[in-house]
Amino acid sequence: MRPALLQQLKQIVGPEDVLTSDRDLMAYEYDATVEKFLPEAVVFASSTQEVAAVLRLTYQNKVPVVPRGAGTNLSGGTLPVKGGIVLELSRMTRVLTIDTANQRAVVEPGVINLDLQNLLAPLGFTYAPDPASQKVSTMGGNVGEDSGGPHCLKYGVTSNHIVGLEVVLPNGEVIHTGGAVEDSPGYDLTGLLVGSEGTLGVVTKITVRIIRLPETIKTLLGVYDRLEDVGQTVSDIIAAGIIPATLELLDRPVINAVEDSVQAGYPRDAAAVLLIEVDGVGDGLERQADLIVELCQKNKVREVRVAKSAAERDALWAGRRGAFGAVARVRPSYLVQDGTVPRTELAAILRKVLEISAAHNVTVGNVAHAGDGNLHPLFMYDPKDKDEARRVHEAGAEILKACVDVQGTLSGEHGIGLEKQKMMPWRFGPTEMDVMAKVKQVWDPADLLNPGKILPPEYQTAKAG
Amino acid sequence: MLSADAVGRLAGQLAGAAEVQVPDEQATAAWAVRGRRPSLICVPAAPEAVAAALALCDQTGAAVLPWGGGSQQRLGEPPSAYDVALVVRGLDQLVEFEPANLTATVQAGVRLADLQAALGAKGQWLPYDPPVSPAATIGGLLATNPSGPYRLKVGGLRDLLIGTVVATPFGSLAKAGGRVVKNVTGYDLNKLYVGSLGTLGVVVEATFKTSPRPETEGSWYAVFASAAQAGAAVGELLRTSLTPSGLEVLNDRVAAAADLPVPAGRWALLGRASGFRPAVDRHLAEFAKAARRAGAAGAEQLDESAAGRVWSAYAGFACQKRWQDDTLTCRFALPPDSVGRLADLAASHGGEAAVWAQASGAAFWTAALAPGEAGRAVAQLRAAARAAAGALVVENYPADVSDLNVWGPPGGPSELMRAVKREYDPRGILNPGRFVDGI
Repeated sequence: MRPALLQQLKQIVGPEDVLTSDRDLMAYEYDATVEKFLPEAVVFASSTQEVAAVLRLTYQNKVPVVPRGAGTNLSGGTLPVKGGIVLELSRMTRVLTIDTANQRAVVEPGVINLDLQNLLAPLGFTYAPDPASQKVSTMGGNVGEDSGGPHCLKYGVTSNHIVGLEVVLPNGEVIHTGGAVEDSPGYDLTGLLVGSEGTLGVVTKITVRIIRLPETIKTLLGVYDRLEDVGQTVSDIIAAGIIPATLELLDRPVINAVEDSVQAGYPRDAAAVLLIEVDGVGDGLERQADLIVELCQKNKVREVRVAKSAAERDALWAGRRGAFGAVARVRPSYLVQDGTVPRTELAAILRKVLEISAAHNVTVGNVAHAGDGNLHPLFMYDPKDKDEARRVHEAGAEILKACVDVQGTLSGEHGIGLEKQKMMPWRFGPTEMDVMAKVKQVWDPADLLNPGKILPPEYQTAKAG
Repeated sequence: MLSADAVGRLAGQLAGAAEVQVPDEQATAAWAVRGRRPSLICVPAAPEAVAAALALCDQTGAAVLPWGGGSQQRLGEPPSAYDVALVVRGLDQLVEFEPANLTATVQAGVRLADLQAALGAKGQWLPYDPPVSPAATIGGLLATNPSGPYRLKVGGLRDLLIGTVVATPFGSLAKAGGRVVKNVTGYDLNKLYVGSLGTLGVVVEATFKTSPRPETEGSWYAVFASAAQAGAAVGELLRTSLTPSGLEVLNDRVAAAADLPVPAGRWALLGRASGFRPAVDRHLAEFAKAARRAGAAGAEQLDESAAGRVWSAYAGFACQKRWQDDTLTCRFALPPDSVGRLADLAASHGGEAAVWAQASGAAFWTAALAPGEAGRAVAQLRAAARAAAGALVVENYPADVSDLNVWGPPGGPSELMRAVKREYDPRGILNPGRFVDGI
């Protein structure tokens, strides 16, 4: 990068907030995926004005910009594949307003998801989306990826909870979409921006919907000998008119990894455990829990555990919360895949995951948001073993193909990013790809913002510069 | 407008893809929008035919008004041109309904009422209850995005829609989203189509999240001296952990139409809870407490048959009033804590004002005004809505009222919205001139 440009960047954000040494840059060459791309500079912005000034400069100089929060992205979305600068937003951590009467909060993009929830809880409120990364991932990143989490089944994904945005366009112009109310006249640009993976604009303020915490929560754990019985239990619960807050599945390999590390007390020989949570007003919730127990029993559950206290609830959750960490201990590393199928296909796809993995001779376990049909196969492997790494990626791709084949999709909540763009044609034809390319054309005709993402390369070419 | 020759040629071309009518003067009246009438009525029977018809219209430069049930065609500015009514009623298939998956895929010409009946046969429904005509179709609802009382509990149409297939002016059919409830596979174009008044493409198929029908429902009402007081009760209820499936503030005129005994000058708060019996009972008890704290004498529970009658009469009145030929109707989008105050303000404007409001923030005002007064009243109410961080859209207006800005300032930069329009409909054939900022 030209020294003059670096000098101008330093004038905008301060000399200490522009990193250029190789040692510093190496901390930003990766995210939670495996590939690495070194940025030319890392710039920390602390305000909308700084973001705007940086983008005006990069626009004039045709420098690519990748916005970044906590860097927990699981699809390579935060990798600077075309060089340029990484624009760090993790210092924009102000919660600007909390308006409980209107069920809204306005936050900056660097606010950590769990920090927002912890701030709201004493007020009796919460922000519903709760991705597994919520201890570190930022609201800006959650908006970029339309993050999900275990509570999506009842409460929806990030896009259902974002009503307004302040956005800096690639040319540095600051715009506002939506606002405090829903149904602003015109196109729903807010809805389009959520899940756009930082390719259209840099979000600098987020107006979120906040909701009341549920009065009561009931947590149950079903232990199963067959995956099919779990699938049928999920269907039966829904058919009974119950929409649980959570329906989380862990299969045998994950159960065993969990027992080796956190000892959650899950039976090692079970085919799967299903963690079920219902919430709402207290009246009648007991009856819902009883009904769920009956439905589990009807579907040959081996055992149902019902939490009778907060401590027992935590114990049932311990295994789910510790699942990723536990899996990480089995082998030197792990890769989490993310696909979604219609819920009715869940048992079949989980079986398929095991078959495909066996055929590729790789170790796998499954954590799934069963109520959403969203599966997370976890491959346990050694990235230094190039052959094993190749087999893991091949198995992952084959699983996603299997998801698409049953009317599922390539990503439920991790995004397309870099990792999955070559698979996009499995789900979408040239027509759809053209329609999506038009979106990019409108917002970022010079192709400077997080370039090289989402669409396959042949659809990324900008029409104008 | 196309020349007679061009219309003739287009009719011949369209006939290869769809049923085409060349209506006489009398027949066009049924398809008139704000005084403009089409030269052709095109009724495709399949999604591919919609796409083919759009491509032909695009090549000819023919202005197209997509048409579902036609019940909400009064929404929007007058079309700047109108050659073809593209009627989607032929797309009448329930494509797929998988109760265990809680999703339903339906073609755009299916009436909401018919979809609800089909889902109801399996104990489910689309949790969406806008006060619309029985003729309203899925396509028309997606284009106009009205909402009903249930929005308070589950969100609006945008939150229920997970997949679309859209026919484009380029002659293609483009999918977005799919049949899964979590999906981050490319840009979320579904959001762009909801409420876009058919200006970006014609939705031919949509997939929604469905819900189990609640075990039971309970309804209740209370009488207040003002909308602000009723709004205070709403505020109290929103601060609790309750999840009501409707909290509606009605002025005396609307309450009377809904068969609620509310004295002249007073307001009703009509509430509903849906779910399992014990939870519904708890809601009813808390409604009564909140109503008393906010100044009502008490709350009256409606028995099942009365509740059915009241909600249905209310929806019927709201629908009829909104779209009546000689009515000025405005829709506010407001933060919940401004709803009561703005409803009071609205009720003081014009004669025979009917005002009703949803706790989630939508409020409606209809009134009789002399043609010269409408513009001023709308400007005043819009200024009040905007001062409260809200917005106001004129949904309907009598033919003798002109100089209204129907949409008001859009919720985002006009330049970007126009750029979106240019990319998706470069020749501007879809509903030209009817949407925000001349789109």
